[in-house]
Amino acid sequence: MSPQMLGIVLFALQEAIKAAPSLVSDLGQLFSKSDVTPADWETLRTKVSAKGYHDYVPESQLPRS
Amino acid sequence: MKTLQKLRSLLLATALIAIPAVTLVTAAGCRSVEQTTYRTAGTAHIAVDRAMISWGAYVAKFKPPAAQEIAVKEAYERYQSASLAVINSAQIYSTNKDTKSDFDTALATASVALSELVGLIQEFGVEIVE
Repeated sequence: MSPQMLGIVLFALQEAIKAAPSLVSDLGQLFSKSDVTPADWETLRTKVSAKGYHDYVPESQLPRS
Repeated sequence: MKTLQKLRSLLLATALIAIPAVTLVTAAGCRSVEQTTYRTAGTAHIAVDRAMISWGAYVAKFKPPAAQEIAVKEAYERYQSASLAVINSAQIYSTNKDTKSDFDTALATASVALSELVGLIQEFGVEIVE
């Protein structure tokens, strides 16, 4: 990513913090890398998908699907 | 009473959303990619974590009706999907600045999904712990 492009993206992220701080924090860490690979994006997707409802609510009465 | 509760939910959701998670630090006079760093405040996933952990504790203690659990589960899954959409749009935006509006839309959607999740949990009488 070019320095100019990175600057634009970082500014957008800074603005976006107001909207979704937790996710933007992760994106910020990712963008702070000089060379972001497709694997980095995939790792972030995996992280976001990792915790399901039953991980937070182990005593849920809903069936695990 | 319901209006007050909604206002309270909105205020808390706004507070959670407004937590500054990332501080961009650019050293004066040093603007290269390598010298641009992020300082994170370690707040990743705090907003949704706080809400869901509180809900989990509430479910363990009070065993709410299944309908309430289903509603929260669906709201959480909507937030999760919206978050994945943000990542997808960010990946595209990182190489094509013309897609900023898509990125903004995805962020707005995730923000609304988070507000709805927090609001729903509070509506069911759960106090979201710090």
